[in-house]
Amino acid sequence: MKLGVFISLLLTALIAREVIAADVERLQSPAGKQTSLSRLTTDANGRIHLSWVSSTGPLSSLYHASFADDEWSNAMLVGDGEDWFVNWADFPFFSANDAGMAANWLRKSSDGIYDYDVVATFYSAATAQWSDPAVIHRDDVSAEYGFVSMLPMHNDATLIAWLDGRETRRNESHAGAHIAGGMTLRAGIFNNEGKKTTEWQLDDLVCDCCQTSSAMTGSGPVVVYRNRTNEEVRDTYITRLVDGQWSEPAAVYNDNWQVAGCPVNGPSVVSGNGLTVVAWFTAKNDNPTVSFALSQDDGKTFGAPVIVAQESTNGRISLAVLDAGGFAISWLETSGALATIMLARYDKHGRMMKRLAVAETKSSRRSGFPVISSHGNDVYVTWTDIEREPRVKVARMRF
Amino acid sequence: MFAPEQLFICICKPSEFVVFCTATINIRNGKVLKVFVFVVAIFTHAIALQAGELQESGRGWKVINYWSKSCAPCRVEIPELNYLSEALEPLGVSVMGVNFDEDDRARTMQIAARMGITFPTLTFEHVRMLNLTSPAVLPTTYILAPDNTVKAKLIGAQDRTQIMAKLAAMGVGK
Repeated sequence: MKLGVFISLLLTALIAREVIAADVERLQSPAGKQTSLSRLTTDANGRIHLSWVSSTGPLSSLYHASFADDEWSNAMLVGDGEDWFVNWADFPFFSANDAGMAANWLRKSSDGIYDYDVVATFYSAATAQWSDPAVIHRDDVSAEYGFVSMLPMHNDATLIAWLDGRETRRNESHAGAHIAGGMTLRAGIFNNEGKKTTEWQLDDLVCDCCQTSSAMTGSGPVVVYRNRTNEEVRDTYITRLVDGQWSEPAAVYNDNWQVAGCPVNGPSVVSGNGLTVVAWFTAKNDNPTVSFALSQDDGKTFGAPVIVAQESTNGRISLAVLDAGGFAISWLETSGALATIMLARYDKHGRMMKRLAVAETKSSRRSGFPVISSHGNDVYVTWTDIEREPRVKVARMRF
Repeated sequence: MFAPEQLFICICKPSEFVVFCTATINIRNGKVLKVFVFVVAIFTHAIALQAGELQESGRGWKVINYWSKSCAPCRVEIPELNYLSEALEPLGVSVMGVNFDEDDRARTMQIAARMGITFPTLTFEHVRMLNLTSPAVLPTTYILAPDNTVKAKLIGAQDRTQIMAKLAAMGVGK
């Protein structure tokens, strides 16, 4: 390569990338080598929980550690197995409530090439033990299940929402190939021993391969997801549990993104201080865009969308509420194979207060989905560094 | 001299088969104690593309499809691309695939075989050489001119008619 061309490419790369903010604090990560698929959540007591997957040959292991007083607890093994379906976009969820914790992973089912189940385990603080992992959908249909989101409920229960492929196995032309039925969205409430007390089908046709997200509003739980119509419009929808009934799913905003494919880029929802925020990714007209919309009535109605990033983003969004009002959002800015994890703080009116770069990463799928969570006005960020071997990283930004 | 465990993966020519051969040799005091050789011949049309073949096919048009094992529309589309990989060959058009999930090479070839993919699967290096940008939606199919410039980006599941119509509109095969 000629020197001039090299310098030109180097300068282009440097100019295109964001400068990492000086006030981003890198934290010691409790995850070691060969770790990925990390997730953060904050419990009601303000304790930060990090979960991640460690891979050793065919063995996958889900670990957890909590962060308090600027120290990580010892890593705790949640579950492991050699029969996991490990996927960069559909990875274990972790939830913590007053009395315990819950987590899931995907386990290959015996039938079918692509089939796997959602397996969950529940930790009781009283017994200090994880329950035996169990499949959460008891339909006995071998299909694809996944993209779980969990939400701590009252009475130490956990709401779990998931994509459920049981209907895709109806009227199949031949195994594993032609999808005749649609992917559905289902949810159930589980006690801290893992017993399911209620189950619902929330939507009979949704996008096959995007994450779900759930939040507790002042009026009750909400679940957001990427919908799918018969005309292949795949916009972000919300449904709310009010007085024991799930509302008719409604669009957060009608992007009218028509695509007969998988964006692999689900929406995110958070709620707090009377504000509910939904953020989502679209690429209508091949124009990648990250947007959010605000609701002042617990997700019943939403204001006009606000664009966070456009053109040079591949989405992979995450949200967290802040005590000072408003919220934080993370997403990826991309420049070819390179990417930057971006973080922005918005006030409760949707005005951007601060925007910064947290870390450099790759746009590769192996870098996964960065996830944020908050305590007070501190935002914690986790992601997978794939510069050498995959390794989970954690940083903190104090707004 | 063999290391205690070595894995040999021989990737054969198109329409032949892939041979996975694992040889484990334990040596103590210069004496071979145990030799285990497992040869598994997997008859498959999932084929690896050698660097030379990419250069060779670089003289023609290319249809490059991004797929994933967890993408249901991809699985519907693959038989169409299998068909096109043979039907377009006389026109000098190569059909190739990219594993969107970026699994390692051995795993990618294993998945491609299980998905019934009969067209070549590109390596990370091939993708870099072609300067392809990873799409936002699966499946996505790029059509590249002989100079490797992207002439079309087809988002979502396509059928053979749509892809052939796109190629015809660009004068390919005329």
